[in-house]
Amino acid sequence: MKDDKIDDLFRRNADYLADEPVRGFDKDAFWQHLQTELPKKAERRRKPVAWWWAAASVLLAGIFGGIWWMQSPKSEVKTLAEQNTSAPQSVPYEASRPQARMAETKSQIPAGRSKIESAPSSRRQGSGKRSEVPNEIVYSETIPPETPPPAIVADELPAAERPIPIILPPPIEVVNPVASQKPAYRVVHINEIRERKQQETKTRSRVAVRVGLPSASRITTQGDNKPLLTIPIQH
Amino acid sequence: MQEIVRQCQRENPFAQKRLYDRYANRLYRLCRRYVPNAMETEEVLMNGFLKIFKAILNFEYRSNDELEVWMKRIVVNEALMHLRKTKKEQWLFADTDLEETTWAAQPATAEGDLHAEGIHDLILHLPDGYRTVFCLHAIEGYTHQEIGEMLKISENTSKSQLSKARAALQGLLIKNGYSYER
Repeated sequence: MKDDKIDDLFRRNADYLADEPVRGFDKDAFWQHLQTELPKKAERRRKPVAWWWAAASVLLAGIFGGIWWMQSPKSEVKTLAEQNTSAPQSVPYEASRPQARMAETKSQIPAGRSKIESAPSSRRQGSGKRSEVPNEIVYSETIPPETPPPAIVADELPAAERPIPIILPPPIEVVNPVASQKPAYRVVHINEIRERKQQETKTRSRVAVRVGLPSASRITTQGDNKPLLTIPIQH
Repeated sequence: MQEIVRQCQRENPFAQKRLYDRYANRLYRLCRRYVPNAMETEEVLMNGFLKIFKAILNFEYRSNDELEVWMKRIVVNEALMHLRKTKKEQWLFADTDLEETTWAAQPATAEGDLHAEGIHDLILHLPDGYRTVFCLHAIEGYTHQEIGEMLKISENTSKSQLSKARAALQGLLIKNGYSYER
C-alpha cells in the first residue's frame, strides 16, 4: 500500500508537470537546431525523382530524334562513290525558270530555241575551270526573230524617208514554269567542292612574278631556253 | 492531431513543428528522468525526434494516446541506449549505498510541502539503476517482465531495484519535510 502511494505520487506529479515549461530548456532554439537536421533527409528523397524526370526527357528526345532521322529523305545522303558513278552524265534539258540566270551577252545567243545546258562534271573532264562546275548551270536563251531589228529597216529606206530610229527595249521573255519540263539536279558531295577550292587556291599561289634581275646563284646559258614563267590563269 | 500526423508523413515542416510544440516539454522531462545531465538530455531528445519524424512515415494513427505511447517508447529506448553506451552495461548492477549518497533536494516551502518540481527532481538523485527501473515501472507503467527484456536483466533484479528505489525516495521525502499517509 505504501509502495503504491509512492508510485502514485510520482506518477501524478509527472503528469502534472508534463506540459509545463522546463527550466533551462530553450524550446525554440532546440527546434532551430533540430530543423537543420531534418531537411537533409527530405532533399535526399527528392533527388531520385529529378533523376527519373531527366532520364525520361532524354529518352523521349532520343525517340523523337530517331523518328525524325528515319523520316528524313535519304536521297540527300549520297556517298562520294555513288556520285562518281552517277555524276559524269550531263543532263541537257529544255526549261526556263524564273530564277534562272540569264546570259549576259546577246552575241552568244544561238538561233533557234531556248536551251539550257548543264556543264559536264569537272572530275571526269579533269580540269578545274569554274565553267565546268557540275552544279553550276549556264543558261542561254534565244529570241525568236519575229520582227527585223529597227536599225536594219532604217538602212534600206532613202535618207529623206528615213524615220526616226526607235530603239525598242529588248523583249521580255515570259516563261511559263508549269509548261516547262521538270528540271534535273545533281547532288554534289561537299568533298568535291572542297577539292575544287583547294585546286583554286593552289593555282592562285603559283601566280608569283619576280621583278628584276635573276639571282646570282642561277647562271643562265644559251641552251637554257626555258620559258621564264608560266602563269595559269583561270577565268 | 490525425491531420498533423498525416502531414508529418508528407514531411510537412509546419506539421512537424506543431507536433514538436505539442510534445517537446513532455518528452524532454521524460528524457531527463533517465539522463540527468542537461546536455546529454538534449542529445537524446534530438536523436529521439529524428527517429520519430523518420518512423512516423510508417505510423498508423488510431488515437492520441497511442501516438503518445509510441513516441515515449522511442525516446525511452533512445535514452536507455545512451545509458548503455556511457555506463558500459555495468550501471544497472551497481549496488549503491544510499547512506553515502549526497542528496541535494529542493528546499522545503514554508508550509512544509515540496514544490512539484522538487518532487520531480528527487528522482534525479537516485542511482541510475534505481531510477531507471522506478521510472519504467512506476511512471511509464511497464511490467517487470518488459523491464527485464528492455534492460536484459531478470525480473527479480528488476523487482529488487524497484523496492530499493522506493525506499530511497521515501527517505528523501521525509528528509525534505514531505509527509504522506502510511
